[in-house]
Amino acid sequence: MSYILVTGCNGFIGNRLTRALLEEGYEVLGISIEKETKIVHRNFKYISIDITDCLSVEKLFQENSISTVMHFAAIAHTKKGQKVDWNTFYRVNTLASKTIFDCAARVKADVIFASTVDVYGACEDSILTEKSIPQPVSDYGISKYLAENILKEIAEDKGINYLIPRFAPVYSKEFMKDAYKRIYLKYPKIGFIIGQGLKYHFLSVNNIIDLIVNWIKSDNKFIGIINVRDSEPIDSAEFINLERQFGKVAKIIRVPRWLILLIEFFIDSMYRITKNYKLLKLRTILYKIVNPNKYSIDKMEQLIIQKWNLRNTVCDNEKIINI
Amino acid sequence: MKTVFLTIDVEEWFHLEYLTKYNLNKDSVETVPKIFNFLDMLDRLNIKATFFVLAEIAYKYADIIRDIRSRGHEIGCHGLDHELLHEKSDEQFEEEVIKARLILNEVLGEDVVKGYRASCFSMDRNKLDILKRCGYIFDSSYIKFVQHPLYGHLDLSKYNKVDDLIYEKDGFYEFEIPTIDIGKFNLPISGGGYLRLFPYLLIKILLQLYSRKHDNFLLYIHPFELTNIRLPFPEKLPFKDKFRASVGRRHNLKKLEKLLLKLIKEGAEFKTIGEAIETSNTMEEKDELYFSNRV
Repeated sequence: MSYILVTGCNGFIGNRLTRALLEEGYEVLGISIEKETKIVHRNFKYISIDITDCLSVEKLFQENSISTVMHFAAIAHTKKGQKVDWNTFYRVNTLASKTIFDCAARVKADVIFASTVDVYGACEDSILTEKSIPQPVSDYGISKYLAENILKEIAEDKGINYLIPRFAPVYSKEFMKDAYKRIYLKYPKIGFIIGQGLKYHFLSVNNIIDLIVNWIKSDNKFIGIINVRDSEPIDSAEFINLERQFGKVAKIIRVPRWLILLIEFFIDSMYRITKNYKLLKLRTILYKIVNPNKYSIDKMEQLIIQKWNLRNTVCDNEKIINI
Repeated sequence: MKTVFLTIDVEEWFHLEYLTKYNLNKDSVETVPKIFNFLDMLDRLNIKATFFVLAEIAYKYADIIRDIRSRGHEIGCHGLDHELLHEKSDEQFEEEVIKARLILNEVLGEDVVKGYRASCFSMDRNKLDILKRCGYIFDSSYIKFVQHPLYGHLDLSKYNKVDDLIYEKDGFYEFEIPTIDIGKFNLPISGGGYLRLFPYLLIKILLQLYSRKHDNFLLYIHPFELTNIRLPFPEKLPFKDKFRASVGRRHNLKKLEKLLLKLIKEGAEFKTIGEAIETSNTMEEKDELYFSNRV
């Protein structure tokens, strides 16, 4: 009996993925830091592990037969409501990932590593493809990019199959936090629109599940990095109107695009003089607000046809206006 | 300054000797995992250091110890626990140094731990001889600072001084923690609380005075001194001990970087202790070869 190991099986994506794999008939070994899990299934085994405990992770691989590793455990923004520093991002997202990749390589397991479009950071290519050179700025993006490079090196050295999907901001019906950042100053009372509205790339969690399940079923696995997002962008003006129809958004503030550009220009000038890294981070955030990244998904579309979008992922009411 | 040895005693904040008598909440704060900013700084400056790791935390921080090693640094042993050596019998010490080395080598997956540093520099001559017998090739616990009640008074008779701060006997080396003579006093200037306490300008002046008579320098530091995370002191802790543990931590990493950059600028070469021994052995072999050829 050989397991698919899902790290972070209690997390937002890991939980759904685990359930989908179980429905497909796979044996799944789930790990997470919590003592317990809500997933109950005859083909499911749960072990509580802190992935930074490398000796326990190694023991896990020695004691269980694992054919595939789906590594979703990570720190994204905050940990138990506390802001996270670089030390924690590095230890959890990079170093612990290295342990998992090394263990996977030893048992010749296939590896899927959940990465992020945050790795592109300050890269200003008009369309970000998998060939664009990442210039991560956030601690999260840097820690994920370091882990990507470690996986590529290990996989190429040991000859294992790997997939590194770089996810656009992910949403589900229950989790809209990353999407809401683009339209709410203060959820749910104060929304904002920049200019006439901007188009953002998001990613339905259901598209992730379809992609991963497809990959694992495939006999001829795609190896490498792919951008992953919904097929169509979401217009922020239309999105905020949709929210208004749900009775959210008490007030909308319209922010002229030129104002953000002016602030961004000022901060960019200050950065060029001072070389202060915090200014680069702030400048990148502002730049991305008015120039939302466009990610190429030519590679992704060779693997799956995205069925999911904001409407069919989030909306129940058929009368809602099409996005 | 010719050569600088940067050393780090990898232990937790609650191993501080003056805190151990209190009931401490050991699980609430960890400082060792805050070490990566410091490690990244060493990478940027291309400095390799010697890390003396306390074996009792090795399993917990195995990933961190391996990362330190993978960045090219040297791993030594800081004992099995952090108790002072004069509270241990020679037999107990021997058992512990063997066990500690086994634990560290097990975590690293290779037999690389060759050096030792005693907690609070509390080494004595008997235990130094035991270290050699147990397969270690160097120690770094010797400090000439009799005013400190905890530091050991290490007898190095029959050891040859082979270089500034470096003593050798039968292939076993002792690396001294430097102090500076000011009048009739010895002042520690090698790191730890003194680095945190003294303003940078004073450290600069003291180092300048020191370098007039010395070629080599050794610096020591602890992980809790490289982060400004708030430590959970017990309420009953006297102000004096709170001050000792807290003073200067906030900007210590920046101060240390400034100091390291200054030393680099002045032409100092940073080496691990193991590298220095290797160089010394190579020089000896070359000398032997030269003289044997002459004969």
